[in-house]
Amino acid sequence: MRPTYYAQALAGVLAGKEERDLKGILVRLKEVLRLRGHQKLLPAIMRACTLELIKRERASIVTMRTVSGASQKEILEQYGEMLPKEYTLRAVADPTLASGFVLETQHRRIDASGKRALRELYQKILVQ
Amino acid sequence: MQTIVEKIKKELEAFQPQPIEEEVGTVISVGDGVATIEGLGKAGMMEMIQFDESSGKSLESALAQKETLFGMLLNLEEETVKAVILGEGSRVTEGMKVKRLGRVLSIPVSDGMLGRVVSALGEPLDGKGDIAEGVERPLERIAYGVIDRAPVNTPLQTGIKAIDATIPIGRGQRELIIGDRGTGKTTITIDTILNQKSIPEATRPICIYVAIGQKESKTARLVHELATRGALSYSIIVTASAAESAALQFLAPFAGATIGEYFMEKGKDALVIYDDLSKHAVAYRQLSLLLRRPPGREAYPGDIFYLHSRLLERAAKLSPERGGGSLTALPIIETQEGDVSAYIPTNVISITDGQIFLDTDLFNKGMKPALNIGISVSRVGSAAQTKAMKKVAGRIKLELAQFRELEAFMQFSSDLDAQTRERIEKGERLSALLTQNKYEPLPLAQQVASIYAGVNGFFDKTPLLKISETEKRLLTYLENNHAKVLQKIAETGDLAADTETELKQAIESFFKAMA
Repeated sequence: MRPTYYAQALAGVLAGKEERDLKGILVRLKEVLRLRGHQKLLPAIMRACTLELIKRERASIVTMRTVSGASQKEILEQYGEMLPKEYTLRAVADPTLASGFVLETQHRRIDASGKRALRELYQKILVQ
Repeated sequence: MQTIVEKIKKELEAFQPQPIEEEVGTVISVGDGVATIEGLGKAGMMEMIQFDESSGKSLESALAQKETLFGMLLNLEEETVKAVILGEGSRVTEGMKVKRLGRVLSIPVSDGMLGRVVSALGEPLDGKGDIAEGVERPLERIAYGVIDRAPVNTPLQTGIKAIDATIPIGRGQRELIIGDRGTGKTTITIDTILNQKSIPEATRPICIYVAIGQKESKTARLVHELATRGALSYSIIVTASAAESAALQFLAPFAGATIGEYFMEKGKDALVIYDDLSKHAVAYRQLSLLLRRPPGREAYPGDIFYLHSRLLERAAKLSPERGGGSLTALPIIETQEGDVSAYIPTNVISITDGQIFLDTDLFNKGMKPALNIGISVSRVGSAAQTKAMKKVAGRIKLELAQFRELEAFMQFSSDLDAQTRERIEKGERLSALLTQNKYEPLPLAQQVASIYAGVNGFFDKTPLLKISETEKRLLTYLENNHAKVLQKIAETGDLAADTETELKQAIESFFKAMA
């Protein structure tokens, strides 16, 4: 049994729980580990769980980069299906984009920036 | 100029930027040419990825960056993937975005590569400008199956008498060249490339020389030699020098095989030389250890055999239905102190269709090429020899075999019977006849004439130290006075009775004139 498996299970249990529930959950975890003879894994489980929680938090962040920094509701509506069910939107100003926007989740990106398009056009002309 | 302006106008008019959706990952650590990336959960093994260096940079800086940085995924793990960086590792930073390209690593291949020096990714390195756009071909491909292959029956003339007579190589064969450092392994391959100049263009093989982990000065010298002697026009040099990353050294032989397959599938013959696979194995070991793959014997990864077997299996002679082309492979392995029972040499020996052993002792005695004919073999054998060569080669092999048996008794020469002494002297003369200078390959007809003269005793009265000189003079005499005989042998590939008579008379007249 790897620490990451316990960590993933623990992170799932902790999701949506209050701080006062934390002690009870940890006591229960220790009991499970004792019954299975895996007490020595506890430090590694806690480390892995911390990383898992950070990862889950990052997964819920959606970054929208535009030239001015203003978030655009229309873009979010258009690309709603690629966004997680619950997410935190970060609107970032990125003047280097030239125009358009870049919408990023943890593992996907919609690039509608002028910078990317112009760079592709430049390379196309250069190759020809 | 106007055409360029018109093209630019056309592109601008058609310019309609559309948003694109990409699967991206994030670099979480990088070092020693390996990047660990979080994400890319749907990526496949050996898939190409592109590092996004333009993020956060202005449009001007993004446009100024000419070379795109690619990587190749080699480890697919639970939470992360590991990729080797195909370029400067210092350009990759932690937090950089990486996108999947959705295809395995491939290189552009075209006829425009002939005469050029390229990198393992197909990029020109010789400063002669861009190579004409070609087809993209994957570096890794499954080799042709049994049904698509035909028997190897066409000789690859190396121009080296000792090899063409006793260890003949066929088109589509894999023949290993193995020996210690400085024994003439690369020289044999260069002579082979140079000799193809004497083959008519229609049947001349395209030569691809893959330099793996070599000194750049050595590769430069080689290119210069080929160019000076007019052999570069039908050759391609693929180089991943010792200064390049282990990833590029690992990929270089596959690039050579890919280029060779391109010509093979067009119905042509191609020759690919891997110089050398020992360095290739070391580069792959380095990569595997950096990727944290478990080390095996001598710290090589467990799939080191598969690395070379899948590379060398791509050499083939295709059936007529597949175009009839061929890809011949001449891999080189460097041994340490003549130890052919080491790990990598034994692996490659078991994969190839024969081996040419180069002996340090013979080299030091002045026998060049320093072939140890006794333990060299070609598993294709006389199926890859012309009829003319078969007629003379059979006898020279027998004579040399008898000589090798009696060689140990040479120190007792005064106590030996006349017949044994005669055999030893004949063997010494034939061995001297088989020596050849560097970069002086001999076409088929000249080889046949020379060996014919040797096995028929014409050199028996020539002093041992004068054999080479006399042979040169004989060949010059034949070229000047009996060119038709040589032409007949070259055209027919046979030593018919009448041709043999003419040749014998010509040689007799030379030696009579000399006496």
